[in-house]
Amino acid sequence: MLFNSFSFWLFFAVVAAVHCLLPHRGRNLLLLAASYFFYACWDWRFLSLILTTTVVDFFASRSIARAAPDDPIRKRWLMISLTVNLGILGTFKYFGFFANELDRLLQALGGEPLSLPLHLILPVGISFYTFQALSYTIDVFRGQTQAAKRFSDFALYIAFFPQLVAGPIERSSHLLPQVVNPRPSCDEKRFRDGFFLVVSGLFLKVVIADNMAWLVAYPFSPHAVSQMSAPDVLLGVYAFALQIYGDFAGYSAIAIGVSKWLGFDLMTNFRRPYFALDPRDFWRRWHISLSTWLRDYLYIFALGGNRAGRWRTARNLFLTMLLGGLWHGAAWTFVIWGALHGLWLVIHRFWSLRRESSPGGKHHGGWILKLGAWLVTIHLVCLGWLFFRAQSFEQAWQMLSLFGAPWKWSDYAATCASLILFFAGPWMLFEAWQESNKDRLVLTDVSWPWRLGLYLYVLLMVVFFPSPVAVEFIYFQF
Amino acid sequence: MSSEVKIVAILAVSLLALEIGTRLAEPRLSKDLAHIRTFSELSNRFSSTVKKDPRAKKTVLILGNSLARQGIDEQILVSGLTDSKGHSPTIGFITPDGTSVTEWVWAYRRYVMHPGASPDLVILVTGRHHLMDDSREQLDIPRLAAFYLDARDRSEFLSRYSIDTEQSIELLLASQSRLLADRTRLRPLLFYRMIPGYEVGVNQINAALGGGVPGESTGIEASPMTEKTETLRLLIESIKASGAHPVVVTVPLPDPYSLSAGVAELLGERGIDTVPLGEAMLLPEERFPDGYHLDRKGAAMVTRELLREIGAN
Repeated sequence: MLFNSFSFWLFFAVVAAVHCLLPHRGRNLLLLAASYFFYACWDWRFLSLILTTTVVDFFASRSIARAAPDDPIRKRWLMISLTVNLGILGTFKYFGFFANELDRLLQALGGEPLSLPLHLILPVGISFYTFQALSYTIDVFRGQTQAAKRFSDFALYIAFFPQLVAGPIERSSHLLPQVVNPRPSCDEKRFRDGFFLVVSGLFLKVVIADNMAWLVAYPFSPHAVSQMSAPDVLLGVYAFALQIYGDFAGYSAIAIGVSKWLGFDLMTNFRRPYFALDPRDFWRRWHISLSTWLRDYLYIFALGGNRAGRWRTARNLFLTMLLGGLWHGAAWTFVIWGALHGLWLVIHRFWSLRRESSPGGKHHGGWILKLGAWLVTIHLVCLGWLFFRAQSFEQAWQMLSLFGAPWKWSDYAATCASLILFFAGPWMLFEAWQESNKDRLVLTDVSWPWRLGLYLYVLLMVVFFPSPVAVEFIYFQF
Repeated sequence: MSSEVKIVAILAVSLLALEIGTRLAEPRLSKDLAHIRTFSELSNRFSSTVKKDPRAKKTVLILGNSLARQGIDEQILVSGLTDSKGHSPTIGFITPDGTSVTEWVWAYRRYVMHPGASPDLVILVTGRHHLMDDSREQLDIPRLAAFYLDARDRSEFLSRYSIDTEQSIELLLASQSRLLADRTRLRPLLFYRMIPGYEVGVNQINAALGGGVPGESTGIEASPMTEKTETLRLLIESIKASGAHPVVVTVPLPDPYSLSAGVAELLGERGIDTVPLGEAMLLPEERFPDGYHLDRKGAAMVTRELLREIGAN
């Protein structure tokens, strides 16, 4: 059941209608049942994994909360929770990859092939709800959140359908109180904000992401390299950058929008990331719920953050991004993507420290410097996307090597450039306006004919310019 | 009234206006849509021909897609099928773009399979893969629902393809809304005119995707997703049940080809006359100006060969 499908909106209309008629407890039970139904529509068998995670983390956190602060049993329950959560994630997501790599290594050393089942189906959204569950147990352990008293409330926190399969990865301190306490009803302001988010999310997904996905197919097809030139690669990567942004930010916007209608406030997940001026800025705008999760639970909690000197800090930063890359999928291309961002963040950190300690270093420069910083940032982000999207390191390298060959403008490049401008150009201008106001909901505060104008444009584009091919949400596979 | 209610109301009215506009503009949106609109007159044409002179007049239906439309010369066919007494046949075409046996069978049942209105001869003109079943994912539900599928056949269609909830909703909506069925027609109309090199660019993308894309028909033949021939079986049964005589013709392509083993087996099993011009007739490259469809000369050669094979006159 995709957010851009008729079945989802039929499902949501039924849920929202019944939701209005029920008291708070009934609403929670309805949303829990609806969430399990929503997930079962993907694959009902994997409901058992969500239930296992929910049961283990509910009882583990209650045991942690009940124990005295210095009781070693707290640590034991935390370890049980971490083992079960990471065990499930590791088995379904990474076992095949590492077994395959081990198999290759053993065979290269002259050993026998491993007789292990190498390919398991990846349960949709497993990385998202596992991280959400992990953050809860760790927060209870650290005393930063209270253990849930009611099982059904906690189960809803884990499985809340708008953000179950692709985030935002919510924190218990933010979402759980909204589950436990009565929520505001859908007043005009909530409806208006939710409507804007849903409409903009649909545009990002249906018009930008799906049309870009169609364009991206050519430069990233395995046999196209020999026929391409640098402009094909460059425009193909720009198209992919827009596809992955439209796809993921679109999903997040719809998730946040429908949640608003149900009385929930989910965290902002994207804040115009392609307007970033440096890598740190980029990660403060891109997949915010994951980047802050990695910062709080991996960089600071597990690795120690920046408390042990500049080289340790650099190592921690690099490792965090490397593992963040692996979170996206079990493939070397994701590891390289994570490593590139890690390296870039480390270099930027050293450079910033040096710049800030020099006289006049805190001055940020004029618009020319900013434009230069933006150009460098956007192209380094795109370099990362090249590795992220490529099917192998070899393919990415071959595509990169085309930049050293003579540049030739092709019919594909003309098509790609024209369609990027047609589909994404107006939206990027709109985002520039949002950026200048530093507010993604700025349109909800202007007079209604302006909003109507945007919605009519979105309606026309969604109706008349869907992608020629059906495309699923990219982040479901993570 | 709050501003958001006003906005939603105006959006709903706009959607309704777009629906009305699409219905009015439909014949001008593409030649293909104008052609599809002629299907409903076919059974009237055939039945009036039969009523006028039931013994002498022949009614012929050409069933296929753009390969048939550009591969058969109507004038040569008419003169070839005109009998010694000078009775010329009534010929009808169901040859919409980008279609295959999935659309042909439902179109035949909807527009032609009526008592007293069915043709005498159905010439089924096909390329390499068009007689094999589409997979459920390949179905173009909005167009099937709007143009080909009759309401009476809906339940049979749903059960044949194990249609899921999403596709069922789409089917129901598209059977009522032309906007849903026609909306992808605007895209090629606009981009082919405005973007230089668009056709070549689209061909490269489609090739990378491994086949044609609905609404972006540029001469690349889509690969079949299944090896099944259940839809062809239904089409043959429907043609025979209506009292017509089916003939299958494979149209020449730049490279010679033969029908798949499954299709050949079914045609043999049901005793269907087959004219394998795709295998037997090698035409020079210049007969395929877009690399796929025949030009007029090629169509004339194919039609004469077809007439010879079916023993006209």
